[in-house]
Amino acid sequence: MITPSRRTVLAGLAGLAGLSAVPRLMGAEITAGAWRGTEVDFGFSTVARVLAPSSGCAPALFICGAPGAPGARGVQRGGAGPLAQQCVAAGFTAVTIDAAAARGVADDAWLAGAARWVKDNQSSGRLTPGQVFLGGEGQGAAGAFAWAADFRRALGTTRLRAVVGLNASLGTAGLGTAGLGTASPGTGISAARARAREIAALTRGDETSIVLISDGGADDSLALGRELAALNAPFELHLFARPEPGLPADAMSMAQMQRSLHQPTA
Amino acid sequence: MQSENDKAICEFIAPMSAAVQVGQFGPFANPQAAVAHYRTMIDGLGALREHTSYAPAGAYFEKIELRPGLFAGISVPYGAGPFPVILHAHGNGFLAGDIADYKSTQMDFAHGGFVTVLPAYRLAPENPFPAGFDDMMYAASWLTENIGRYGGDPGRVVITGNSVGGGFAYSLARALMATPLRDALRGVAGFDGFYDWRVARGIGLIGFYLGGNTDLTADPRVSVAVDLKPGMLPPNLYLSTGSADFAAPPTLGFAQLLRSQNIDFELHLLEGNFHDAARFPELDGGREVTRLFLEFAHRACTVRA
Repeated sequence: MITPSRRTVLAGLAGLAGLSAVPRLMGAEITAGAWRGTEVDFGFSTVARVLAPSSGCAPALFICGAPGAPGARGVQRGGAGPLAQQCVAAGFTAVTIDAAAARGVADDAWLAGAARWVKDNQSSGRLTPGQVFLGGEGQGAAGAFAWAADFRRALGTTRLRAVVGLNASLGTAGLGTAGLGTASPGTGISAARARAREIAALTRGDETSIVLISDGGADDSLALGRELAALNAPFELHLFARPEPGLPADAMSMAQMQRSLHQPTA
Repeated sequence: MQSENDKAICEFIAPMSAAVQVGQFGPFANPQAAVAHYRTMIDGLGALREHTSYAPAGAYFEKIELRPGLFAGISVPYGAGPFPVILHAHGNGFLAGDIADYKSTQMDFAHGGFVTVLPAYRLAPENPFPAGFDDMMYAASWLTENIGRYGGDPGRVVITGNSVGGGFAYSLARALMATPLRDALRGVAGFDGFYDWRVARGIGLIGFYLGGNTDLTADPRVSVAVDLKPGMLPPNLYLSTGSADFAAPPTLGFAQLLRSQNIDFELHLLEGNFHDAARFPELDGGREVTRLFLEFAHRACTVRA
């Protein structure tokens, strides 16, 4: 089911991306450093760019891009952005998603395609069975939380293990003006708390874990963490100090994500 | 994400964890009954610890006397020093706890490369505030003169504490920043701590610690959050808690206060970890807290902010 707020955020993200120009290049291979990148279409022109380790199978980490946002690293030309590359280095198959809502595509439809792609590739040994994650950085984290419930439903018995927010930009600092994951300002504290309850609901029945990791500017993650704690929701939160000269805070965040998701060292 | 191992352990220990909360929140007929209940409960946890087989290698342990009547456990890494130093304030509600209760914590820190001193500060209600605080201040000064004999470097000190000791460690660090020890302080860490007793008077048996004078919650030696400003704490700050820990809200609240004051810090909240989980090395989440802390502490002792 697509809620109005979810449709708003998806439309906003997709609109920022100018997704009408996204080409359909099913099966095309894009060389990206040491890895092989592939662009796939889950159906309905919903494009994802896949970066996988050069050999073996790896857990799938779906990344919601924050296209157009300053400093966004999720969706970049050829899907070879630094975040996707770092995720591959950390032992994941990075699947970077472009939003579809701007083209009028219901996300139930393309998420079903994505779920089928996961199952087929787990069966073929390209993806690690039982290891599916969803995440995003900055505004992309808002997209990940907005999609999580629908994606989990689409995956069915293929469990969505965790949703990961990196340096999440959720508009929640001090439970501020924008609700969690909503693109509409002015929704206020009650909307933010309502969205926190939605996020907390992901953890019911021990289904999906919530992991928040930030390397500075952590106000939004902290605010969400307080709301989740108030709801007694199980979740994980890592806030590293602001980067200092000589300290690779960004690498620390990635290493922590790897540990939090229980992945072997790449 | 919480491991399957931890889920099983947490399920087993959940009633005991709940008992800790009952011990802290439950009504009692009189103060003596409350203290007796609390100490019985802590003894029970100690008995549980004795049945574990955890025994880290790579360090040795001694019980020493810092001054007449003030004892401390000291754990020292094997090998050539000088090693950075940890001064740890233990928890247990300011009412209970002994050196032996925290030996595994100390040995973890020593195994991680830190000479670690854990004083048995005077406990309430027999010795109300500031007796225990003064003992810890003395222990800090003792380090300067004596830790070299144990392979420690008095110029690199991290103050730590768990549970009520978490806020205690921060208050101690704040007080030490106004002493000549300031330059030696590289960081402070609180595990599952309470940092502002003004807003948490109902939690714990703080009234016994303060000799019944709850106005003392506004003393920065009790609540580090009081009038906290940048520059009042050491350069590197660490906080940790768990999503099943009743100290999670106070820890996150303190973190937000630090952010509002533009004071940098590092925070880790582990899924499913209950109160004082770091004391249980059988827990993957407990070991993870210790690992994250040791990484932080080594960074703090090698890079100055």
